[in-house]
Amino acid sequence: MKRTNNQNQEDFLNNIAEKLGRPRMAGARSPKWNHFPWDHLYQNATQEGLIDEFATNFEQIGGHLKRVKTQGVIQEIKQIIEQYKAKKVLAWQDERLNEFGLDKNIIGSEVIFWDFKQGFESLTNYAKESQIGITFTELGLAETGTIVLFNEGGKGRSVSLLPEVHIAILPGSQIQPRLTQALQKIKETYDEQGKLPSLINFITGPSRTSDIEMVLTIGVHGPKELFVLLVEDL
Amino acid sequence: MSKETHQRFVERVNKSKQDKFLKTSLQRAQTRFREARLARAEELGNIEEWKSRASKIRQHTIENLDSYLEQFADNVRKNGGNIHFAATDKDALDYIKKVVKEKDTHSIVKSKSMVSEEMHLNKVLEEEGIRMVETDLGEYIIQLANETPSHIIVPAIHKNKEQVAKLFSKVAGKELPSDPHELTSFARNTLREEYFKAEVGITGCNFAIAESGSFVLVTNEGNARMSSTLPRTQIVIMGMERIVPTWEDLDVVLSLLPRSATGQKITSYVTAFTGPKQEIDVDGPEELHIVIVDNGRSNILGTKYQEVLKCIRCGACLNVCPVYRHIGGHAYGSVYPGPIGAVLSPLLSDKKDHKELPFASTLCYACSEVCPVQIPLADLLREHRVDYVENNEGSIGEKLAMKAFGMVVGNQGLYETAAKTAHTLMAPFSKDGYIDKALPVLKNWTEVKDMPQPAKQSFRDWWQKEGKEATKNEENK
Repeated sequence: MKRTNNQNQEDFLNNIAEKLGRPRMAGARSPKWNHFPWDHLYQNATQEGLIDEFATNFEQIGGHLKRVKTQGVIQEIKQIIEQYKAKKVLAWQDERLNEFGLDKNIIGSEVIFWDFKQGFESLTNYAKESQIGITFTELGLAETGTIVLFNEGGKGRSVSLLPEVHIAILPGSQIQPRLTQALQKIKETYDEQGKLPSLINFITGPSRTSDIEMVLTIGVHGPKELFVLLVEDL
Repeated sequence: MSKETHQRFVERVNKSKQDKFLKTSLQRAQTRFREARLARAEELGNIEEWKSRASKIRQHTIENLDSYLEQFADNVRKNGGNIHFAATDKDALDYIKKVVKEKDTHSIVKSKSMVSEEMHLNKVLEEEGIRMVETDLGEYIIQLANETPSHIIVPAIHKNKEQVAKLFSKVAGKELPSDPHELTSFARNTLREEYFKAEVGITGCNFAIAESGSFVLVTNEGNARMSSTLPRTQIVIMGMERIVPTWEDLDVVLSLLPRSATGQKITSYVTAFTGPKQEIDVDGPEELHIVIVDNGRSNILGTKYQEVLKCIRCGACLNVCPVYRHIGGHAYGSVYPGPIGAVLSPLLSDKKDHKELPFASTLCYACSEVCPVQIPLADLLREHRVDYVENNEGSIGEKLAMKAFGMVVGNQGLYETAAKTAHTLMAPFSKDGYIDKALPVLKNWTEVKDMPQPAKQSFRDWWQKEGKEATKNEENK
């Protein structure tokens, strides 16, 4: 008789209980802690302090930081497109990006938005040929210089992954102390909506490896350059 | 241990010891990782508190593993993913074969997974006619060389750039320069095509999160992101203990993993998956299969070795181990090398293999001290030795020698006295600062390892006198 998946699971879990020397357990809860190892960190941090720390850590791991005002975002993007002579640009289909005036054509380069209607083949093939990908950051983490992207719908995974240059827009007000705040936000999202985006990305600098003789090499599979446009008035 | 096993071990160690590059490479890696790890600990300011909390979280999880795995499985299904519980490596392989057949798979891109090494996944799927492509740069190198990883996080640490250039030149069909940047660039371009071709992507799992059915990958290169973005099916292989209850619990272990492993505050990418792609998503896998693997792990539950299941696979114990530094990963002859491998491998093996590994240790306690989840590795190594002797394995002569050695090095007080006095006492036996093979009590051990002559000042003494001072100075910078 063919065993069902459920029998498999029951046998597997019953065996664990047996080896642990007690009956099957369900509904275990994590211990509640009164204090955390990170409590002493960032106790009196100001938003300006966090922004500065983000900038320091982000640049230390090889990121390019541009501090801009809302109206200066599009100019910064143009400059980067010119710098890399990019012909093809890929961007999230995201209202927050449209507000900066990002349009289908910027100084002679084609901008394609990650639109569901275009389908997988067409979008990933375009992504493969794009030199630049543009995204919008949910959170920035000061301690590590990390940006947090929620990938779903128009906010495709490939945009921050396939092009050699990734530009992420980060509102200054969204910079938080550390991982703790990001994980709290994820947990809140899950509790409120009963689900999460299929992918949440914590990105810290460009793609890197030290697999050959421990020599640090940038851009092995993911982007070689990471720009964060830190929008100070957002 | 049988004479034959012992012989093979001796051969592997001797082979490693002849490799000059390996020695330099391991020393370089250990030094660099150590410095970075210490700097990260200093920044946090209360590393012992972090470790203690991580240990408690992991211990709680293991003690309630059935409950958390069930919760995880329920949530994965709710998110639209498939779960398979595999009691053995064969179960896991059968399921994976079934999935890839259903998907009419010709090629698979794979990102790093140690548990897949336990089941020789590549070999098995290649026999099914499937093209397997390792995409982590280090794993790609050793796949081309037809070798196995020699370090948990730096799998090709034993290869130099000339060897890599030779391997890549063969693929390229032309001579490539032995420059790490050029070689990496070649791998980027070559592997890029593979992600688009592959029907299935296989990844590991660093941490599953029971409360939402999510799982997290901790990587630097981006190959795991590629493997989970472009292929239409994703298979995740996770050891059954690779789970935490909540996102809050994840905070502690995720903060410690990269800091303990490479000394990074965080890796370039931490990627949190929840289910396959949703209806509104364009890229990402349409199908997600998570295979939860036991393969000998449950036999460790309820035994004095249970704490080894707290391991988060950071490799810090390899990076501080004087034996690993001396002999490298391949000499262990097991999937997991270093102190964690010496404890875990004999336990995972159903054929009672790897019994010699717990003797490949100086019991200097550096591994226990560095472990971010406070696994008492050195104590467990000692337990293995006791078991070995008590189970009447090996000849009486061997037993006595091991027992004597165990008595000296196993007891901390005795060891300290021995280490302090040994320098003078062993001088007649030593040659160029290494204890020669003639010392009778150590015969079995020194046969494979020219034991360094105990330092004039032991580490513990150095730490008391100077080490603490040195880190204090670091603090004032």
